[in-house]
Amino acid sequence: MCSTVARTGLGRISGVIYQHPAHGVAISGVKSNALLQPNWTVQKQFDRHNARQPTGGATHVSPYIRIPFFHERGPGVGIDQNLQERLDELFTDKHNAERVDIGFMRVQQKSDKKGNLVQWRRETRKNRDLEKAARAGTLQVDIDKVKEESIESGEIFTSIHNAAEFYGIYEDMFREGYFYPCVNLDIAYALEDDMMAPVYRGNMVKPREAASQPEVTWKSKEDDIWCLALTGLDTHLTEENQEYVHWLVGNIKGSDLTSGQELFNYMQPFPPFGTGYHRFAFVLYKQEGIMDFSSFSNDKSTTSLAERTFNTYEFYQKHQDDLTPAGLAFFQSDWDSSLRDFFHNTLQMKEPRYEYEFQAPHIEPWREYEIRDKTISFNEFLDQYRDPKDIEREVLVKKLAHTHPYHGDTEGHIKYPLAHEQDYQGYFDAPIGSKPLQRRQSKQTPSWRMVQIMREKTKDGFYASTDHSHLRTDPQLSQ
Amino acid sequence: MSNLRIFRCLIPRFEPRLVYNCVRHSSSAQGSSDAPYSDNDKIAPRVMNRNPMNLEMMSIGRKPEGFQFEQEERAYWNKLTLEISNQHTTAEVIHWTGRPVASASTKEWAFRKQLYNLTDNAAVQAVGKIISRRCLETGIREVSLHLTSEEMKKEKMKKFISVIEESGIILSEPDMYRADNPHKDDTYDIPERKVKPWTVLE
Repeated sequence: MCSTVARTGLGRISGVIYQHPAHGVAISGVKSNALLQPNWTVQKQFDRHNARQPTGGATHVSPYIRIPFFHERGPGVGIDQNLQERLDELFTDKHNAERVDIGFMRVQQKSDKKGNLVQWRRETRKNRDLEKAARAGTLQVDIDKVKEESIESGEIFTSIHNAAEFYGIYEDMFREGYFYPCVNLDIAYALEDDMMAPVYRGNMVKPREAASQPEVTWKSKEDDIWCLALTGLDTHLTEENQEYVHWLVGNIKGSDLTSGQELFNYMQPFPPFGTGYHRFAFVLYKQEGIMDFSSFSNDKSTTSLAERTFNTYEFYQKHQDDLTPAGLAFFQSDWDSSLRDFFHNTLQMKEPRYEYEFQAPHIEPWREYEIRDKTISFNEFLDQYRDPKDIEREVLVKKLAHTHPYHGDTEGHIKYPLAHEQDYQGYFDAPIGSKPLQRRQSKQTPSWRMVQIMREKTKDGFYASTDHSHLRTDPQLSQ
Repeated sequence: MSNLRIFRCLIPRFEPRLVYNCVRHSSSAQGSSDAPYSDNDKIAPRVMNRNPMNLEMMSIGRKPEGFQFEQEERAYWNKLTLEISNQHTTAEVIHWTGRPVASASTKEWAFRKQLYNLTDNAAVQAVGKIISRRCLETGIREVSLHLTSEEMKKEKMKKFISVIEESGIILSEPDMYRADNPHKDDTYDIPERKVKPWTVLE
C-alpha cells in the first residue's frame, strides 16, 4: 500500500527546541539601545492584571492606588499584545507551526464514484430481491464487508489518523511528528471460550484481557523488515513525559513475529487505581535493513520500571534513518482488580492508589478587617481559614463519640436526625448558682449554633466523613 | 489534514490537559515503617495522566455549559447527529470541540452497494449499525443524541435508536461531576450522594 521508495524527505526531527513566535521583540532580559527603543523588554511574567492605569480622577483619595510612574506602566500600543494575539498564545498547539510528516507518502485513493453510482443504480433497479428485502425491513448490511472495503481502499488509515489526532497520540509520542499509517495492524487478545478482544483505535481493553501477548498480523512482502513497539503513554509513575515500553520486537522478517529479536518481553498494562483511562499504542516501524540493537543492554524479561522507561521521541530521533512508522493501533485501559496481584508479585511493589486532585474551592483572601460577606456566620467564616486537618480532627472525635467498637454506628437507626429537640436545647446552660450576666440574655441556642447542629446532623460539608456507609471496603474481601 | 488544522486554530478549545490534572498518592509516604519492596516501589506522590479524553471519560471534564438559552443543545462531550437529505443518509459522532470521532454515510461506495434505497428505513438502520461500530472502535461509549422531539416520533428514528442501543452505545451522557465544597452550606439543598468518578467496580 505504501510506496516504499517515495519517503517524504521532510521527515527529519531535529533536536531544536520550539522557538517562540517572535512579536518583533526579543524575549529575554537583554536591554536594547536606550536611545531609540524603549528601555524595557516584554517580560512574560509581567502581570497585566495588576498594571491598572486608572484615570487618576480628582476624587480618588486612596494612598494605595496612584497614577503609575513611567517605569511602572505596561507596554504601550503596538508592543503589547492585542486580544487576538493573546488568545492565539493561549490556544496555539505547541507544535502546529512545525509539524512534520515522518511516515510514508499517502497514496491517492481511486475516486471513480460517478461511474460506480450509475452502474449501481442500474444493478439495484434490476435486483427484485433487494427491493423486497428493503421494503420488508429484512435487509441486513454486512458490516464485515464494509470494513474489508475500507481496508482495501485505504480509508481506514484516515480513520486511524483522525483517532490518533483525537487522542493526542502523535503529540505525546512524536511531538512535532505525525504520520499516516499505511499498513493495517490486525491485533487481537485471546480470551476464554474462543473469544477475542481486538485492538482498533482507542477501544477499551481491560488489563485482565490483555494479560498475555496478543496475536499481531499484517501484510508484508517477504524481504521486508519490521519493528513492533507497544508503549504505555500515560502510566509513568516517576517521571513526566515518559512512557513505559511493554513490548519491543526488532528485526522482524516479513510478517512472522517469531523471527524477530525480542528486546523487551511482553508485559501487561497496569493503569493504577484512580488514574482513569490510559492509552497503549502499538507502532509498527519499517526498517531499512537489519539494525543493531546492542544499545539495549537490559535483560529482556526485566520487570524493573526504571529499565522499562522509554521515550518514543528519543528512540525515533536516534534511529530515524533506519525506521519509518507504518502502522498504528492503540487501545485504552483502566484499572482492574487483577492488577493487585500483578503489582505485588510481578512488579514487587505496593499497589498504588490514586485519587483526582480537584481544584480547591476559591476562598477570598482575608485582607480587610471588615467582613463584606455577611451571609455566613462568624464560625463558618473562620473555618475557611483554618487548616482542614484541624477541622477533620474535630469531626473525627465527634464521629468516634457515637461509634461503638463492636456495634458500630449507634445512631444509624435514626431516620429523621433533625427532629430530635434535645439536640438544640441547653447548650449554654450556666453552672448551678451562677448569676446571668444580663437579665435579658436569651437561653435559646443562637442561630449560628443551630445551623452548625443542622449541618452536623445532616452530615453536610466536612461532616460527610461521619457517615459510616462511606467507609471504604476492600473489593477483594466483598467477593 | 489541512481541514483538521483549521478546526484546531479557529475553535479555541479549552485544553483539558492544561487543567491541573494531577492525582495524589493516598497511601503512606514518608515516615512509614514499611521499607520499599524493590526499586519499583519508589513512585511519585503526584502523577499526571496525559490522555486528553481521560477527564471526560471519568465525567470530571468540563462540558461547554452556559448556552442554556440557545436552541441547539451544547452541553455534551460527544454528540450523535443524523442527517437524512433527499439523496443520502449521514450519521456523525462529533466531539464538542468540533473534531469528528466517527462518521458513517451512504455516500461511501462499499456501503451503497448493499442498499436499495439510500434514505429508507433499511438505510437508516444500516447507518446506525455502522456508526455505532465505528464509534466503539474509537473508544467512545456514551453519546448524546441530538434529535428534535418531532423527529423522535418518526418510525425511522425509533428504529435507528433501537439499532444503536443494541450495539452497545449508551445514548445519554453522565452529568459532570462537581467536586463538593465542604465550606458551602448545603442544608437547604441537599445534593445527591455521588460515587467517585474513579471508582471501578470490577
